[in-house]
Amino acid sequence: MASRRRFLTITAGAAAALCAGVVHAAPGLRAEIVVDRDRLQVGEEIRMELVVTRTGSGAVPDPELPPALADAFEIVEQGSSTSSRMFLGGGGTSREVTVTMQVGAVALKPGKHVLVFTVDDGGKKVTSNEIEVVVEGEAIAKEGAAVATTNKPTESKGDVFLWASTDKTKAYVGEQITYALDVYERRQLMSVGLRKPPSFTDFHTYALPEGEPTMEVVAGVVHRVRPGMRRALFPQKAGTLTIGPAEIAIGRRRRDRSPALAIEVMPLPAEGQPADFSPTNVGTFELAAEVDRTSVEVGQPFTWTVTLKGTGNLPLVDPGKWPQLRGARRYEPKVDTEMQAIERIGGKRTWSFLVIPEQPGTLVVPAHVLHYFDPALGRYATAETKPIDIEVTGTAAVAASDADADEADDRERFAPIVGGSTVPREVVGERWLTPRRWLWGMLAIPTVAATGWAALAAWTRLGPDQAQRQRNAERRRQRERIESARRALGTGDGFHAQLAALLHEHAVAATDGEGVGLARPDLLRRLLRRGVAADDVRRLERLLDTCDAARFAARRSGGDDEAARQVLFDEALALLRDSTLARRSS
Amino acid sequence: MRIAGRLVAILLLAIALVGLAPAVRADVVDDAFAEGNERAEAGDWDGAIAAWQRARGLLGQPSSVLSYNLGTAHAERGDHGRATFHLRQALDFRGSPTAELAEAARYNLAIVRRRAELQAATTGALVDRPQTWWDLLVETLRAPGVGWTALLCGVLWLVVLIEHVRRARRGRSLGVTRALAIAFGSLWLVAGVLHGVSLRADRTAPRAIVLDMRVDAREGPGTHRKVEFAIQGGAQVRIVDRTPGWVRAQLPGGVEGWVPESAVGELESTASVRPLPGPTAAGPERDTPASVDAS
Repeated sequence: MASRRRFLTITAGAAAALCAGVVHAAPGLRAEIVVDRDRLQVGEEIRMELVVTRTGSGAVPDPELPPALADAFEIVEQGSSTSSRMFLGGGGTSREVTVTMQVGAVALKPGKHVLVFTVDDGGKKVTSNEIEVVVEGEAIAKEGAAVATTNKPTESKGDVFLWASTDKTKAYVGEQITYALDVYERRQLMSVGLRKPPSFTDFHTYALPEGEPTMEVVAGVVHRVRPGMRRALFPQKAGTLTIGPAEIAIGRRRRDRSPALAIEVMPLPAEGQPADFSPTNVGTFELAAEVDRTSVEVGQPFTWTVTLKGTGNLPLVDPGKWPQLRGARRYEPKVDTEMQAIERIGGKRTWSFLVIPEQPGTLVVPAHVLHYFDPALGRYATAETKPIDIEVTGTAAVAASDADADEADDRERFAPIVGGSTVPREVVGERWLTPRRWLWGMLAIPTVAATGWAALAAWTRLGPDQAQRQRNAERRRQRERIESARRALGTGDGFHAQLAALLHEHAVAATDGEGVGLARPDLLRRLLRRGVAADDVRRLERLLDTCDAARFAARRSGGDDEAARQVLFDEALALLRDSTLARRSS
Repeated sequence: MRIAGRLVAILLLAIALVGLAPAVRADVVDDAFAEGNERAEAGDWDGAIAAWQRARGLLGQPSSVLSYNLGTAHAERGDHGRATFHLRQALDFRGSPTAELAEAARYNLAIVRRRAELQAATTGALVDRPQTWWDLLVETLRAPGVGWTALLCGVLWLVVLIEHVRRARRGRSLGVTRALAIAFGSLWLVAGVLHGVSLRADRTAPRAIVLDMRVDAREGPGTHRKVEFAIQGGAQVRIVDRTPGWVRAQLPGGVEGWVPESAVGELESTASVRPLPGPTAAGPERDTPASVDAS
């Protein structure tokens, strides 16, 4: 009973403590702005957080950016995140959702700027706290209308600033414009980097050497000028073309941007434009031609090289239609381009033709003309090669008649097609010996050899022992003797000798080898001791004696005919197969 | 009863269709072949190629005659790559080339080869070197006869080995069997290894012909990758690597570069009867000679 009362007391106390300890959040929407600094220089970045928190049910609206950002700042970074929390207590639960927008902005205009934002809560405006931010320094331009400038800076824009310029603000289509992007520094900063390169839409660009840093006086102050970028630009169309602004990062928080540059691009003049003129041929060019030999034989090739030198967009230069060579065969050229990029783009472009003379005489490689527009002179000009004479000699081919020429053509004529109206169908099956089958076959050979070797080794190790093999050999020999004796039944030649040897071997075998070398009486006695029946020993002795008598005294006895040999043979077999001697010897 | 009658009718119709199908196909193949020949006679090589490609697709099996005609037509058009590819296929035994056809195909191949080499010399494109005795040796080692020889030597080696063991167990003379075993074993090993290596080379790096007139070989798969060199159409390469749409082609000298898959035709491909990505009726990208003005 006491324990039950104690349990209820503890439980009630714990519940009361839980209720008392829970903080109940008030419902509604709150907005708050937080910045990482309230004083900065123009070009520096400020980071802020716009926090909108709703307690209770309902959606959280997105915050609107502070109006001051639109005028005096440029937003360079923006992101948002959402978090939520749950609260227990008061007989239920409540929820708090927070939307946080992170904004990074670079100050563009000096002055005092008040940062505040609002959120729309279902028609009701909720305003955040206000923060006053002081920006010092000189104003820098936002990305706006492009300007045209070829000048150097006349006034300093701070300790570090970016300057972009071109060598001209007006150019023809295809004319080279040199773009320069420099970083001016009053003090040397290590952490200045190009954050956003300029854009060169509608320009064909080549990189130029950047050069070395120089010193320059701007508004009476010495600046170190660090070359950031050099480009040769070739405008591809007429009109006002814009080179986009570039931006550098100075440290982690400062930025500076060069203004966009406007270039007025004029079309190539129509007056004096040659027929079939290629608008990519703009620059200053020279054209030359040479051959690697001036005297050749018919059929002997020579190389005709046309070289274009000058300044301009060489890879795009269109050489025009190449002249025809009468009496020679010309092949497509091998084209090589060697570009040089110092201050202006230029270099050399060569077209090498392989030419094979087909007729003797003087082969004239005609002049080739290239029309181009010279922007420096503002008019069209012409570059031309000189004609070259090639002496072509020959013997048999010199006096080639039409028939001979046709014959020569025939040598290079293709064999004719196979005519007819039906396609021959002779189905040829795939070769039986496919690579896979061949591989299996090749692998099977060593496998079989290895298996055979293993089987042989196993048989040698696990098969019959030496004694057994000897016994088997004896049996085999005995069978051979029986067969020999059987074959000799008719003639009698060697019959008794084979039979005697057979009987003797059986007798020796019945003594387990002890009878080897013994005289016959001793052998017979040994058989008796080995348990061979006396009757069988007597039969053996009689048979052996008969054989001896037949071998050595056959003529005297006169009883050696085939029937007698058959009887003797049968008796011997009976003794060897069904007697105590046979059982012992086996 | 009526259902049974319908079933019998359907069955008879099916049998008739199955029986007639080969004949019908044969007719359309021959029609396409004849049309190609007529167009070729009229000098319309593009039309002839289209007709022969159609016949080839309908035939569904290799045909040396069709390959030869296609190769010759492409050669007449100056398309050395496709000409080389088809003429090489015309020599494949699976198309049953006759001796005369093979001789004509080799003749045309030689002309195409000369022209391709000349064009490569003028444009700076790379081309495989001409066949040497080493190539012939490799070609010979790849022949099925070498495979059969290796297999036969292996079997004979086994037989001799068994006899050798048998004689050894019986205590007979072993000199002859030992010499034979060494001879057959050596032949089996040498022929087998060489034939196997050549087969493996074909399997891992199949041979192909560059089809387009001039193909840019890049340092990696993709048109944005740097062009390292150009390969002349008609050059024989080996395909040593693949990615979707691109293959890494290796010239016999070992120079490698990535080229579009459609720019090469594999010689050993089982799908060789499939129509190649062919040139349009406008002809090859660049023809040679550029001008022939011999008058």
